[in-house]
Amino acid sequence: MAKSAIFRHLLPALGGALLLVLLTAALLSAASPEPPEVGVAWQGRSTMPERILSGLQKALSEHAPQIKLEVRGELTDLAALESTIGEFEASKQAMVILRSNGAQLLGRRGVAIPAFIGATSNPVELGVVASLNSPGGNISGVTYSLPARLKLEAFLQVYPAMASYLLLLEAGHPGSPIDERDTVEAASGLGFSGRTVACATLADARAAVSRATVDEVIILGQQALIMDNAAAIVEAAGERLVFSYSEQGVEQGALAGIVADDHKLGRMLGMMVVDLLVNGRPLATLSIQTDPEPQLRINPATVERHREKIPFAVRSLARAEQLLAAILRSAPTGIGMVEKRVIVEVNDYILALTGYNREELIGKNARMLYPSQAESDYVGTEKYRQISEKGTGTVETRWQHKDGSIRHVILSSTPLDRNDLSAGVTFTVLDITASKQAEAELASRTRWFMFGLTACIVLLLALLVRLVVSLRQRNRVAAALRASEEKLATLFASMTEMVVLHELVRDQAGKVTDYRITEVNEAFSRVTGIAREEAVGRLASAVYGTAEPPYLLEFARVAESGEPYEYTTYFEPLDKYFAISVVSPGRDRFATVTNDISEQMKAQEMIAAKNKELENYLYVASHDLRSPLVNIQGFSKRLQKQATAITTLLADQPLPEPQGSDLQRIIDRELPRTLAFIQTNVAKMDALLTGLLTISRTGRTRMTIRAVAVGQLLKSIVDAHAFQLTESGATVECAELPPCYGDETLLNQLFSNLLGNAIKYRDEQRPLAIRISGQSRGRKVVYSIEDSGRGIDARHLPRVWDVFYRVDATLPDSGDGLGLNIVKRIAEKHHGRVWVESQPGLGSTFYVELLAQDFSERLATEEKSAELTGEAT
Amino acid sequence: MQGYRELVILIVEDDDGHAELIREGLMDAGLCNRILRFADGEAAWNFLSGSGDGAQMESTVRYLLLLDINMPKMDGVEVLQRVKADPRLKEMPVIMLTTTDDPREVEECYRLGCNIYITKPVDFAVFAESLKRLGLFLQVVTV
Repeated sequence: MAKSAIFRHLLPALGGALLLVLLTAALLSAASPEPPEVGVAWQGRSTMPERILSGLQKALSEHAPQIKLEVRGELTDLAALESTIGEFEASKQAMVILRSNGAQLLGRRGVAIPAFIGATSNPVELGVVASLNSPGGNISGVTYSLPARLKLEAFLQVYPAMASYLLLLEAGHPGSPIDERDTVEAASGLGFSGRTVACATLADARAAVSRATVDEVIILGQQALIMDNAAAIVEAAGERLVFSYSEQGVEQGALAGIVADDHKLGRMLGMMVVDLLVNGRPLATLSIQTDPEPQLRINPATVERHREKIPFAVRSLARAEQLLAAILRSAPTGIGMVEKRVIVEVNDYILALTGYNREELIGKNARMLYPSQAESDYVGTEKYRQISEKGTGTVETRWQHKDGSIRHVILSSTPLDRNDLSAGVTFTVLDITASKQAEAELASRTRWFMFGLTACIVLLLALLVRLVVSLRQRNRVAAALRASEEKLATLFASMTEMVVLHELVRDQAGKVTDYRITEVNEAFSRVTGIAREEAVGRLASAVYGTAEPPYLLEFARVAESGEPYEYTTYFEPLDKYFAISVVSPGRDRFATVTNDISEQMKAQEMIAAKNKELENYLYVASHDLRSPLVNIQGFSKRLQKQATAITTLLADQPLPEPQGSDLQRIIDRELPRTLAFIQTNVAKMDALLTGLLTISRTGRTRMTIRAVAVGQLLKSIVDAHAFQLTESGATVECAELPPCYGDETLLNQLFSNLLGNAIKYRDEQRPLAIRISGQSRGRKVVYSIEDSGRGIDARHLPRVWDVFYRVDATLPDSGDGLGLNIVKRIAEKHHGRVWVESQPGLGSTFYVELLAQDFSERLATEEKSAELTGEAT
Repeated sequence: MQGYRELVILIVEDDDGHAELIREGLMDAGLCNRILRFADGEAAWNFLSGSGDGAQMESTVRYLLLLDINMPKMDGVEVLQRVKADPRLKEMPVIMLTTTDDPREVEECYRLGCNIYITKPVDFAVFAESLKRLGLFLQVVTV
C-alpha cells in the first residue's frame, strides 16, 4: 500500500514526467522482442465479464495476436484480486480488471502499470477516475453506463408526449447523485422538468410512484434496490408509464430502456490495449469509453398495454420484434448469427443440435462446431465466395456434436450488410443427418428450396430488428422506425409464405366464437385466390364460407396462451401439403405462417418408401441367408457322424501304415478342428442375421401412437429388472416423469435396452446408481438415464449407436451390438433423438428426446385430409 | 379305435439339403414312416388336389403335411390356406417347418389353422432335437 500511496501523491505533480516515462515504457515494450503480456482478472461470478472478455480476445486476435493474455476469472474474494493485481504489476505490461468492485479496488489502491477497467458502472461515480474524458493516472477502460441525454432521447421516441419525469433512485447509493445530476442536466437540455425521489426501501418507491401525477413518467435508476424490485414498482405505477435505466427493469415490465452491448465494449477495450501496447499511445490520452450505439430494449407486452399512448411506429416495431422472437423460438431450423465467424446468437434448435448450452457457444469461434479445421476452412471460403457472388451462401457440411458424434447439416448464410461482413452474418442450419444416412441425394433439391425460404424470412426479420434497434441519434431513430415499417411491408409482400394476421372475436359472454383477419400478404391472395379486400377486416367464417371457422380451438389456444403451435395439413382442393405455424404476438391476436411443403412431402414419401424397400431387402436377405446356414450346420454335423463311422470301420480293419496313422490323425484331430471352425462361424453368422432380422422388424412394426405415462412404464421396467438390480446391488432413483406420445411396446423396448445396458456395463469397483429423470421442453420431452457405470471412451461415442458396434467385443459380457441401434431406431421412428454423454470411469448419461404431442407415424401423408375447406391460411 | 392306417409324411421343401436333414432327423428319432418329398408348393398341391398328372393321394392312407414357407411357384402359406379351405383335406395335420420366426408370420399360420409351427434353428443340435420331438409326436399320432 505504501507504494500505491506514493504513486497517488506523486502523480499530479509528476504527471508530465511520468507521461514521458510511460511513453518510453510503452515504446520499449512494443519494440522489445518479448511479446507484451496482459493480465485479466475479476472477482465474483457474472456473465458480463465473459462477454467483455470474448470481445477483447476477438479484437486482440485481429489486431495484435502477439499480445498474450493471462486470464484469472471468478476470483473468490477481493483479497485474491488484490494479490493478483500485485502479481500483474510485477510481471505484465498492462492489466484489465473487470467489474465495478475491481475498478473500485484499483481506484483505492492505485496501480503501478497501465490498467483498464470494464464491466463497470460509471467509473466517475465509483470514484475510480475524476472524469471520463481525461481519466488521468494509470487507469482507463470502458463502462456500460450511458449518458442520461441518450437515454432520455430514446424515451422520447417511445413516448413523445413526455413532459415531466419522476426519477427513482436508491438513497445512500454512491451512484444516485450522479444519476440525478446527469438526468437533471439532460432533461433541461431537452426542455422538460422532473424531480427525483431517493428511496431507502421498496415501500418508499411504491409510495412515491403511487403518489405521482398521471402525467409524470417514472424512470427507474440503475441501483440494486430499484433494479431488483422493478416488477413491484411497475405494478404500483398502474397506468403511469415506466422507463428504466437498466435492462432488468425492462425485463420486469418497464416500457423501454437503453443498454450497452458488452461484446462491443470488450472489442473497444481490446483496441485500447492495442493503442497502448502496439501503437504506443499513452494511457492518459485514452479516455474512458462507452457504447456509442446502445440498444433500445422495448417490452412488447407493456407497449401493448399502453398502446394508445405509444406511436404506431414503436408499436409495430415491438410487434415485429415479438413476432420474430416467437418465430426464432419455434422455428424447426437452426438460426443464428456470427460476426467474423465468432458466434453471437443462436436459437434453441442449434443448442439441441450441438449439445452445447448458450454460454458455451456465444463468443466462441465457429470452428468448434466442425470436426476438423479443413471442414471449417472449406465452409468459410466456399460460403463467403458464394456470398460475394450471390449475396447468400449455402453449403452442405458436417458439424460435430459435443458428444463427438457427427451431424450432417446444410448451412446457409446471408450477411446483414453485403458490403460489410463484420456487421454480422445470419445463418440457418438444417440437420439432415437422418435423411443423409437414408437417402442422401433424393430430397436435396427440396431441402434447398425449403431452406432458401426459411433463410429468406429469417434474414429479413433479423435485418429489420437490427436496423431498428440500433440507435445513433434522435432523428435516426425516427428514420429507422419509418424504415422498419417500410421493410416490414416489403418483407410481408415479398414472402413466398402466406402470412395472415388475425384477432379473436368473442361473444358477450367472452367466449371465442370466431376470428377476424386483420392483414394478409400477397402470397395469401396468390395461393388462395381470395383478394385482400375480401379478407381483411372480415370474419374467418365468412371469408372461408364455413359454419365453424377453421381450427378455431387451436388458434384460440395459441392466442390466449402465447404458446406457438405447428401442424401440417393436406389441403385437398389444391392438392397441396401445408406446414402451418401459429404464433401469437399479443393476447387475442395470432399470426399464421403457411409454407407449401408438397415437394418436401413427396420427397419424404419417397424416402419412406425407399426405407421400407431397404428394410424389406434386409428382411428377405437375412432370411434367405439363414437357409443355407441350416445346411452348412446340419451337414457339418453329419460329416462329424460320418467321421465317427469311419473310425469305427477302421478299428475293425486297420489300414496299413503309414496311411493308417495319417488317417487316424486326420479323423481324430484335424477333422474336429475344421468342423469346430465351421460351427463357430455358423453361430456367428446366425447371430448377425438374427440381429438384422430384429432390426428390420423394428423398422417394419406399425406403431399405435397414444399418450404414454412414461413414469409408470419405467416403474414396470425397473420392476422387471428387479432381480438383476438386487443381484448387482444397484439403486434406482426415478424422478417424476412427464408423459409423451408414442408406441408403448416400442418405448418399453427402448427404455428396457437402456436400463439393461446400465446394469450390464456397471463398474464392479463401486455400487451402481441409476438416476432417471425427465424434462418437458415445449413440444418435446427429454428423458435421461444416468448411471455410475464404466463410462464410454470418447473415441467410441460417435459409433455406439451403429449396428453391431461394440465398445469391446472381446469382453465376455459384450452384447450383440444391437441394443443401442434399436434404441436409436425406435427414437427416430417416434420423430425423436437420442444422444449420450459419458466420462470413462464415472458413468454415462443417455438422453432420449420424444414428442409431447400427438403425431402420425408417416408424417402428414396419412393424416386424414382436412375436413374443412379454406384452411390454407 | 379304428384299424391301423398307414401315415405318410409329406415334406414340402424346396431346399434339397433341408429336405434331407429333415428326413434324416425324423429317421434318427426312430420314425420309419413312408416319406414323400415335394420341391415346391405347387407340386405338393397338385398331389393333394389330384390336379397334376403325377402321383395321387391314396384313400387308404393318412397324411401329415410338413410345410416350408418360402418356396417358388406356390408358398407354404398358400398351400396351408388351400388345404384348410378344402373340406376333403382340412382335417389333415399341418406342421409349418420354416426358417421364418417373424411373429406376424407365425400368428398368420396359426390363424389359418396350422397345428404346429416350428422354426428351423441354425444350431443343428436344437434342430435335431425339435425333429426328434416331432418324430415322437408323429409316432403318437400314428398309433
